[in-house]
Amino acid sequence: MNKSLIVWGLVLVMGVLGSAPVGWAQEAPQEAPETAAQPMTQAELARLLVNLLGLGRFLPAAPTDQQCFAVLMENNIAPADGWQGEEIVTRALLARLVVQALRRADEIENPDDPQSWIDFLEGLGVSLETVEDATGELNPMTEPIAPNVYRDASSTDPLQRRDKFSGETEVHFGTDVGYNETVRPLTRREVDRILQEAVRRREARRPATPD
Amino acid sequence: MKQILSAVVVAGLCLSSAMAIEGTPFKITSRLRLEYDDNIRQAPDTAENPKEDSLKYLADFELWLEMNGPHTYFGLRYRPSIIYWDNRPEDDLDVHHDFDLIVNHQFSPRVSLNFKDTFRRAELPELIERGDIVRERNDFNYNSANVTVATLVAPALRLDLSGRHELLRYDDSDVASSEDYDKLTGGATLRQQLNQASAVAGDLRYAATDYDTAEDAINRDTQSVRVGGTLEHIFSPVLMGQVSAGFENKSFDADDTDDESSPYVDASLSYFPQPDLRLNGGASYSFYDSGAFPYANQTRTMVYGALTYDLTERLAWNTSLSWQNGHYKAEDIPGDARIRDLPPAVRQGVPEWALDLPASELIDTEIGDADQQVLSFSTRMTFRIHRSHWLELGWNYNDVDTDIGTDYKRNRISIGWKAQL
Repeated sequence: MNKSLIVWGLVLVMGVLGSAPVGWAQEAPQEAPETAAQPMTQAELARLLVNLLGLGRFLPAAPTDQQCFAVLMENNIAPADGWQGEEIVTRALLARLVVQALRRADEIENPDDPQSWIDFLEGLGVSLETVEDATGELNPMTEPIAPNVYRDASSTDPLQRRDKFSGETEVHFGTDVGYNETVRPLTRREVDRILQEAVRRREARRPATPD
Repeated sequence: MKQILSAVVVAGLCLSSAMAIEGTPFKITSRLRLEYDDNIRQAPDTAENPKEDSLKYLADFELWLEMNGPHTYFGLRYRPSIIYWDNRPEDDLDVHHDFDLIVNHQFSPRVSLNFKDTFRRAELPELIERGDIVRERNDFNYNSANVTVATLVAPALRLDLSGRHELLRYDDSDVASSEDYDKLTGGATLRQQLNQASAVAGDLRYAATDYDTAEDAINRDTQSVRVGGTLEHIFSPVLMGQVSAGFENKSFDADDTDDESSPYVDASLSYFPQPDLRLNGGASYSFYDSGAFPYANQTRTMVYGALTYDLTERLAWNTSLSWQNGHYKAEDIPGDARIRDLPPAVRQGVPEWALDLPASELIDTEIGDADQQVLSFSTRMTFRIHRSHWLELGWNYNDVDTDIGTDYKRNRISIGWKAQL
């Protein structure tokens, strides 16, 4: 327990100290309105979508941009020309991504026309005035696609890898996997019990001595 | 009692789903399946130990609570799963619980705190052969709590300081005495975005595994230090990959057990050749926590792949495949272990008089080494009958070939209905 507290404490203290030179504590109150007025990048939107669609549980605690792009693409959510993290989000792109996240991309009449995505979304009554308005209708996805079980089990990073899953009910890339069925080896008591049982059976099968 | 509890949970969730009101932060999904399982006890299917099959009824409910503010995101997912077994008289009901919690807070444009907790409560009944319990209950609680403070040191340079605590607790005291653990991991990652398509990172990790064993028990505790790097690259709008590699040193608390070192490598690739086809794959090689008493370490190799293909607008096909090999060496057995402590299949051929000798006597022989190979294949067809309703047909196959447990093959075939309420 003490070790845990020390590590958690160190992480928090170092994080705060690490940020001190850039003076976030002083800047934060002033930065908020400026930040709100700044255009959003595709990387920032991807991070927001990952949260709103419930995909964050498949990624590390602080995922990279590429990890966010990959999990969105696995669920068919991507700009027409692919994710470009530093590019600015346009209305048409926002409309496209939100429609894809709503799982209604197949209803777009002309997918090559950016205006079609905007018209469709506005037809649903969704405003594109702000990102918050546009993404307000998004819910966590029903069984999203993610290679979470095997990727977590396969990871070499002790901050990410995991070997314990929920038996027969974990879903991996849209399938029901049985990863947890790698059976635990027997304990010493269990082995002793099996050996005793084997002896008992052998004795029970021993033929009677002929007269 | 468990049945009554389950009935109450199901009724409660059905009622709450019926009462779900648009605009509330709660979201509910349900999934019902009927499944045929051809090997419910994971038996090797020999004359002594034949397979037994059963029908199962599975009900999953997923409840989401989420809140998203200008600087803070909070997401909580709870999924209870209830499994009723038609032909498992000694225990016909399993209840699993999954909790996932994510909290992200942006202190400033440069600094964020990210917390993620994963909790699993899983049930696995005892293994009964001819009326005798030969393997105790495997019910366990598992929790993993991760926290990362991410700091943007420069516009393209990010420093992540992370900590993680994992715990595993089995219900059965005999199992718990050798398998329960606490793991503590700390790490730092310095990540430089080279351009829009590429990033490199340097990784440093320290991990300590502490088994919750009695003082006189075999000491499997370990500490490891890992140093390496990661490269992420977007090759094209439809192809992206990541590779990590480095070196790990592991030390053992047990006397007479030498430190071990190994390189590690971990690569994954995501390929989206067309919008309706997505492919994903990866491979890794590294030290791993043992998972098999009395070994304190294993070297694991794993390969996996997955495919999603939208055959039509309504019909989707998902498939995944994985293979792993865990290699356990006699050198990884703590010095205070006896040959008798090894799994029976591993110490086969050792005469009775030698069983109480130290397991270290087996070093440089092939007797103490063990392997466990697991092949898993899953596929599912999903048909969307309505915007919020799906029908699905699934098949899962597992093949376990092990020196440390029981070999078995298992098929599970299911048909189900899924709805977002």
